[in-house]
Amino acid sequence: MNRKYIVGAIVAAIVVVGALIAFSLAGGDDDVDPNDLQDVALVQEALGGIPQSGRTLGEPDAPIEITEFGDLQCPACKASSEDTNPELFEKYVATGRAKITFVPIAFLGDDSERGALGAEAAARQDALWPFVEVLYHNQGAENSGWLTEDLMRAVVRELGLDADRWDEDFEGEDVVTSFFEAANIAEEAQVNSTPTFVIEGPRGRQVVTGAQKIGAFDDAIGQVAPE
Amino acid sequence: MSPAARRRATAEPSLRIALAAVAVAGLAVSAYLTAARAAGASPVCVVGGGCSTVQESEYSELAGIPVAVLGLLAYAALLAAALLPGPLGRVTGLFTAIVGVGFSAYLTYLELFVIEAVCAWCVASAVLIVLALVITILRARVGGEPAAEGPAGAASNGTARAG
Repeated sequence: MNRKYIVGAIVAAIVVVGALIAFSLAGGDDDVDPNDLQDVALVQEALGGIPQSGRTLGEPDAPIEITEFGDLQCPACKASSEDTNPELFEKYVATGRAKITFVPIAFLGDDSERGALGAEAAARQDALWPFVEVLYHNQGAENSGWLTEDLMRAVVRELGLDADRWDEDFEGEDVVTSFFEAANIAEEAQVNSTPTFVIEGPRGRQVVTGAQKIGAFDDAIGQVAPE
Repeated sequence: MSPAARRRATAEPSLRIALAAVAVAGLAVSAYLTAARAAGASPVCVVGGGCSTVQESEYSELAGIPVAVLGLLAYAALLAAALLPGPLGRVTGLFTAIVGVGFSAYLTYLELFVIEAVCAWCVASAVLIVLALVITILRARVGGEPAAEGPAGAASNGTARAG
């Protein structure tokens, strides 16, 4: 009788494991449709009127410098981009109190690397920020091959950038150099998770990691801001 | 009581204690990962550095439930199984441990070949769940058929079951 229960437990356990794995895998394939990009207008509105240059958003002489290290595939970066960045931009960047630089790093896989190179190519047109933010709003399943060149081209087109120039830059050597340079900057800043925000001002340096609410930035900025 | 029956009788409580210890350790690991996730913080990686990568990966959730919470549930069930005497405890423990090892194996495969990052906390949990499986298998074996635990039954069947 006991044996029967044990065999039953083993069979039931195998069925449950199979179901868990099937469930996990089923959740893993939501392809992103390049012809149906979400939130492009929303992103453009959040960035509207703020000066952009290369990887940097904001007034060049802003007293506080924020550096965001992000991977385009990282869900916490997406959360941060959607939930906190608009407020951060409005409160600190648009007002000229801070400028923010995005350093694209790739630590999750091939999609991350393609995305980082694409972002560097967009930076050549002073449009890294809208490019990155639109991709975060349309993020697909990790390492599923969602971050394709087609998807990036669709973003470039939707943002009204020069598509031929983006293609040329994306294929070029320059962006590869920038990509490795970004990796070095991240290593020097001892970044080991994304997103990591390094906040530097006249009174020092603070680090904010993970998807945080605006309060975490208020605190960090308060500590480094000019008296 | 035959020597084999006596061995069984003494092995069962110590295996239950061992299972409880493993379950408590597992609860601690998954509670830490659940808390770190809830705080939006990156787990502190004692060895290596893949914890954030793994914890931020889309596979860290199953239908919106963080895998760390599933770990909490599994270790809680193992603890309950350790506290429960008799066949119900043995079967619950064995079932939970097999599910745990199976799912853990799948997650380890993801870490190695899909996410390409290994997190020390997840490895710790994988080792604990394998230990739990070994203990629950031993417990199911020494448990035998408790109905036959009487002197007559033990004398006639003891040697056969002791192996």
